[in-house]
Amino acid sequence: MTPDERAGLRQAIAKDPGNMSWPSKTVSELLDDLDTAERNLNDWRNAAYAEAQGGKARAEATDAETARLTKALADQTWHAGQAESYTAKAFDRLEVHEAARRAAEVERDQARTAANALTIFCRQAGCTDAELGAILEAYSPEKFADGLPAWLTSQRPAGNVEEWPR
Amino acid sequence: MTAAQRLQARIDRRTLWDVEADIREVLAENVRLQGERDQARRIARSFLQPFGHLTVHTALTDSLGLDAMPDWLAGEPLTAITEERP
Repeated sequence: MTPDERAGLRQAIAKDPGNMSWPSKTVSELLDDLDTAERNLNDWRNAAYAEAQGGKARAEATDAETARLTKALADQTWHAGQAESYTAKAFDRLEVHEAARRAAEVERDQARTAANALTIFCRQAGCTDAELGAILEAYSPEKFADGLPAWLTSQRPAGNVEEWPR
Repeated sequence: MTAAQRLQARIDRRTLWDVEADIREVLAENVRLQGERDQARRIARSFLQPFGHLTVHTALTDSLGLDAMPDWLAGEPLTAITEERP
C-alpha cells in the first residue's frame, strides 16, 4: 500500500467512522504501524547507506595508506641500497688512505734514518748540536729555535756529545 | 666466507659515518706523517749543499749501506697526497 493509498483510507475512515465494514481503530493503528515501519525502514536504509559510505571511505583510506606504505618501503629499500653502496665505496677509500698512511710512515722513517745517518756523520766529524743546527738552518728552511727535533738526536750514541770522537 | 659476505659483515657492524670518521682520521695522520717526512727530507737534503753529493753518498753508504742516494735526496720534488671527495 502506497502512502497515498493509506492517506485515502484514513480520510474514508474519518468520514464514516461508524462503518462496521472496517474496524477503524485497528485499521488506524495498522496504518500508523505501516507509517512507523516505513520511517524505520527509511532510517535503517539511510543508516545502512551512511555506513556503506563510511566503509567505502575507510576502504579508500586503507588503499591510500597501503599505497603510501608500499612507496615508503620501496624508498627505504632504495636508500638502504644506496647507503650500502656508499659504505662499500667509503671502505675502498679508507683502504686507499690507509695504504697511503703506511707509505708515508715508511717514507718518513727512511728520510729520518738518512738524516740521522748524515747527522751522525757530521757529529763524528766534530759538529756540536749548536753547529749542526746552524748548518741545517743555513741550508734548509727549517728553524730550530727550540732545539733539534727529538728524532734527529735519537740515534746518537749515549753520553755527552762533547765526548764523541772528533 | 666470500668477499661479498665479508663486506656485508663490515657494513652491518659499522655505519657509513664511522667509516667517514676513520677516513678523516687517517687523512689527518697522513698529513702529519707527510709533514714529518718532508721535514726529514729537507734536513737530509740540506747536507748536500755544504758537504756535496759525494760526501753525503759516502756517509749514507757507510751508515746505511745504500748503493745509491734516494731520488728525493737527489732533488726530486716532494709530493703530497690529497683527498678527492666524490
